[in-house]
Amino acid sequence: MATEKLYDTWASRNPQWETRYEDLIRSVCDYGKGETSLREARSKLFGAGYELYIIAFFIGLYSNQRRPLTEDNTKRKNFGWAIENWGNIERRNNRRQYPKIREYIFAALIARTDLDFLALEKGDITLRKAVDILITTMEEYANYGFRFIKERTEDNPNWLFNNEKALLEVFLAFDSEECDDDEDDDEPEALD
Amino acid sequence: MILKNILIKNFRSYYGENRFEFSKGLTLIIGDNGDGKTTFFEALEWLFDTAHDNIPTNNVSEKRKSELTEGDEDEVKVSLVFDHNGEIELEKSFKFFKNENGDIRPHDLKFVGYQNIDSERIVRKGKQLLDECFDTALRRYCLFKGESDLNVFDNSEALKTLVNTFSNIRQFEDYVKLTEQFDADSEKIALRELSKDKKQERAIKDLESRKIQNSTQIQDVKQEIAKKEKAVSDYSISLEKLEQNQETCEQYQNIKKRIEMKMDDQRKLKAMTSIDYNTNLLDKYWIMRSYPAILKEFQDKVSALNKEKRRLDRAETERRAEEKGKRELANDLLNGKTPLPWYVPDEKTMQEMINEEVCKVCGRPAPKGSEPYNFMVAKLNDYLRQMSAKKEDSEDEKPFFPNNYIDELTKLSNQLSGYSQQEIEGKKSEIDDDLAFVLSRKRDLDKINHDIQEAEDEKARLLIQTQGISEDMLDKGFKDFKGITELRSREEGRLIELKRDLIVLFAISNITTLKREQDYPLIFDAPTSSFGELKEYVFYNIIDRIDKQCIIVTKDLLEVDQASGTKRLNAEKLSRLECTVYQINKASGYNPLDLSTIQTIVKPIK
Repeated sequence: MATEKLYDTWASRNPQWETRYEDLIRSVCDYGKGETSLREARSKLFGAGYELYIIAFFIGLYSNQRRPLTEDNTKRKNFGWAIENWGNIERRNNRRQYPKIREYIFAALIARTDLDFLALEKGDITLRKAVDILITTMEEYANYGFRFIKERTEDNPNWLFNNEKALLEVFLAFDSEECDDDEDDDEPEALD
Repeated sequence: MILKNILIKNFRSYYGENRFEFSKGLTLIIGDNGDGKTTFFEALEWLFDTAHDNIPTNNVSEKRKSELTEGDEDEVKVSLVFDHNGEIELEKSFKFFKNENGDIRPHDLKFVGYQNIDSERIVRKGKQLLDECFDTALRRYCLFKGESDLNVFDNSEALKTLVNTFSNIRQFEDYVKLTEQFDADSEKIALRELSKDKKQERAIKDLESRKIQNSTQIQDVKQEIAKKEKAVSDYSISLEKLEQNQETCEQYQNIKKRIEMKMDDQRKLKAMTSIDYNTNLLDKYWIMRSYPAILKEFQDKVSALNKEKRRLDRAETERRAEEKGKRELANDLLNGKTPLPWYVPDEKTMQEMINEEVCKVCGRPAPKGSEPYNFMVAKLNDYLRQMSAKKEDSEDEKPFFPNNYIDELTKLSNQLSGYSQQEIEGKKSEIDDDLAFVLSRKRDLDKINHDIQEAEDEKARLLIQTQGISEDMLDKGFKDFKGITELRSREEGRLIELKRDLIVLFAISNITTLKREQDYPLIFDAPTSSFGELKEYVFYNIIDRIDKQCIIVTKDLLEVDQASGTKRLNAEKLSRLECTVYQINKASGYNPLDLSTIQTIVKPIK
């Protein structure tokens, strides 16, 4: 029986984010405008909404900080764009596609998710269940990242717009920072 | 009116009788200064002068005077023969004698005309006849004295009029007045002729129309000249301004050039420093800067999983092989003999033989409880056990790990190692290099901005110093500077050309054409004295070619004989002309201190 690939199943998903970050996403990305309103898009830092999601995810990842999403389904939403499309559709001037980012995100999730891969291999855990767990990791890292950005913008509403290197500086700071290690689920699963 | 010949007798330097025959076209009378050119012309003027009745004593030939003894008498006479509806001769003369005091006394001024009518020679009053044939007004159009003294069209103004037309276009306005004079004169003529002759009336109308045409042409030329003068003037003004501020212009240009160069550098530096740090996080994978640690975690984890999976798989395989081996050993031997295969005979046959208590292999009875019977029962049980073991074996062949996700992850791990891994690991230095480069260029940019500001300040100070000159003029004007000079020269050249050659010749030609219908000759005294060689050539060619009687008294066409230092006729130039030519020159023995030595010798050349 030919099994479906783990990566493909994961990439077909639409991860969720909390609606409280929708204004932030709208202010920074061309989210919800469609591809035609480029005039407005020119003043935005990013194109599609998932671009800020990726930024938020890596902030959570490098900070090694996860933050579970609210359990209230009405306060969550997704972009309507499966992960498999991320990095493929940005077409504004001087932009480049960056499809490999998906594999890097996936590899990070494999590294950082507490999942019994041998049980998955044996068939004791279903593929769907395993992907659910991976997506949860992803959502929780991004959720942390969104909160991080939002807090910065709450302190200084023009934080992102007055300093063109604001986000880059966040990532440069990870060079010297020790990753916070206060979470239990950030260690690779013990294998035996 | 066609002049046929003229006789000049004892008129100043024309000692004795001197006769000139005129052709119907051009007749040239060539002589050097003092040879009698103007005297010839003035003899004609005297003949045509109907306004004065006094006797001009000073017209008497000094040489002739000196020869007279007391009581001797001779005459001064100018006689002109011409065709004008028949041959006419006009003769003006006076007598003179030397009295006892040796003084010359003139008397008996006569002005008579002879008109041939029906082969009869009728004597007429000279003045009357002349006015009939050659009206005073017409005479103005026919006699052109000198280039600077043409007392022809208007006694007080005409000289200036035509001659200035020749040499100075600013006086062209006067030429329009001349046209008005034409108008008045032709009206007079028209009125007179109207009463005489219908044919003349038509001719006058034609003349009118030609006159209008000429006026229009003159007006056009005048406008063209005005345009050229305006262009010259505009360029001159611009040029003067620029010349006055040339130094400022140069300074301004230097500053401007400096600013442009700096701005070019500024543009390049801006392009270099214009980096979208946000999108570079994604497009250039700058976000992967801290990823190598994560990648290592992933690779380690996948490697461990892979290893563990293989270990478990191997252990399970070994366990299954052991189980199978045991089973096969149990079935291997019976009483030291190799048994029949367990599946021979089959289950159904065995069951039938036991039920019937007969061994159908050897054909002997096998009653219940007998050895053969028990053998058959044991054989059947073995068969059933083998069947059960076989089922168990097929279950053992199922894979321990039915899924291949760990293999998939291993492939991904391999994919992300090697070149991809190096790329990710290089992100840190790539970003640092880029940031250092931008920082350095930004410093350069700051310096350029500072330089530009300084140059702008310098420019502002310069503009304050040169009050009254706009930046635009300094900018645009300088670019045109060379062009302006060239254009001015060109425009001036064209204007001079128009003034000195074309317009003048055009005007003269038109005048002659204008009067052609009436067949009056044109008589010029030294009209080309200041003409250049080219212009002179053009002039004679026009005059020579037009269908018009012209008499020109001139010193042109003379050249200096290098050998003797005297002047002689230019044979080459003369050969190009088809006209009649006379040469006049002073008789030998001329002494400037003794007027009685003056005598003009007339010599027909061709």
